[in-house]
Amino acid sequence: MTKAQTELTVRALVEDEALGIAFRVSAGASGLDRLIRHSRIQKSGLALASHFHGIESSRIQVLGLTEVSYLLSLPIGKCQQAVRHFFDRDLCCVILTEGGGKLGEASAAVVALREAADEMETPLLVSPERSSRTISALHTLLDERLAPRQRIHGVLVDVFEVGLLLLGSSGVGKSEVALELIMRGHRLVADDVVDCVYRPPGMVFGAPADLLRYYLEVRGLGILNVKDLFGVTAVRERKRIDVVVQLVEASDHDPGDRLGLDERTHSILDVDVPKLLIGVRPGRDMASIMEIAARNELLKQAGHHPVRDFFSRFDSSSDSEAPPASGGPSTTPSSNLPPVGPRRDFSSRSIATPPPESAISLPIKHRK
Amino acid sequence: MSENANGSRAEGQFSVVNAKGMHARAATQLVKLASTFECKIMLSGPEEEAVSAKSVMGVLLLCGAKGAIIQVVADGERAREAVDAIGRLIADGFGEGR
Repeated sequence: MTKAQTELTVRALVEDEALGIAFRVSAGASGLDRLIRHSRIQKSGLALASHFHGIESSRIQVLGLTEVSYLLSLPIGKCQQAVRHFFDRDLCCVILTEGGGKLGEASAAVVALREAADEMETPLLVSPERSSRTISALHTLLDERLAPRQRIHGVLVDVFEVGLLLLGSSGVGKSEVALELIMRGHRLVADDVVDCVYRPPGMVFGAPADLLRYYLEVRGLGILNVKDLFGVTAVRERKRIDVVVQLVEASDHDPGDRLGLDERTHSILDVDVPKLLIGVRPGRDMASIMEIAARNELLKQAGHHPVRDFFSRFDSSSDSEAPPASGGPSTTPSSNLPPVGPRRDFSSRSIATPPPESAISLPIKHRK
Repeated sequence: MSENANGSRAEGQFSVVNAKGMHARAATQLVKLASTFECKIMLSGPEEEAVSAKSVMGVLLLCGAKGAIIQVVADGERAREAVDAIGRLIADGFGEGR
């Protein structure tokens, strides 16, 4: 089910149009199949001064104006030696940015770099952009290309901007639920095959496989093109996965959580995504349940936890024999409730608690 | 993935022999066959990542051309039987001859 793609050849990097910068292979072309495994580059100035601590062969090395000016300050013999020792580290690729490239191919430092690159079969690339832009473009591209990936059998729908990933065994009706949701104006992201990719910090995005984009397979109807049938607003290219909905046959549905207090999670690429277990029965309006699940998630993201609010009423009424205060639920967590870990940083109760009445009424008084 | 108590794991590799490869109708046949088994069955091809054998879209994505090697991995009840049955279907060229 999983296969993390965590490497990229230098050739693929050079040919990648998404980079937005046209690198020129200046030397060492025979090493274009070397692998890049780190999403961060290294600026290797100190390595040229023979301090090799922390130099990783699978990281891209960037030489800018500073590094090249150092090489030029050395006598020619020392310069060649420094470059040779640097390339001896079995580097995947070295990029010379605008500052260094400006010196021209004839410069002693560049000649030394080219010779070492050819000899060690390490690609030497020249970037037409300055270091800052080159590094920023490289980081963006490497984050994308080297991100942990996983292919999942499920259906991803965007319901009110909440990404619901429907899971369940074949034939349980995932695609049918998706079709109902599309009919209500929600958007299909991927049917049957969801390509998940990790995004820092702690997010997972899902997208369809290229060949399957916009298509939905429904038993009895066959393969449908959702974009043609419902228009461009019924589809979406990719969506963050906010909730996993596990559809289970009614017979083997564990009726454990009738209250909504258990916070189950489902791990995708080591990210714990909130999970709901929903039993499927003939005649049960699944699309409505999905819509409510999405609305509920939006409430939680905004800092409200409806179920906890509900139970806090019972606590406050038994504590003081008085009806719950109109200002809102108490902020102390109930001791009767199972411990529930913090789901999101921003879902802390302090945000959820409405401001005291005086704070609300004050501006109104001013207006009078 | 938890191990099924009374289930097991089985796998096999099969080469696509029919001229048209694993095209749409062949893929549907495979999915129909796979769906008759309870166990979880995953297919992977030469380039694509693993997909569920019970998913039409997934199997279509695999698009095994003639000569492609398809890896079948089953997990659960009657896993061995499932792998063998799918293997026979692929080896028979999905009933199309060669």
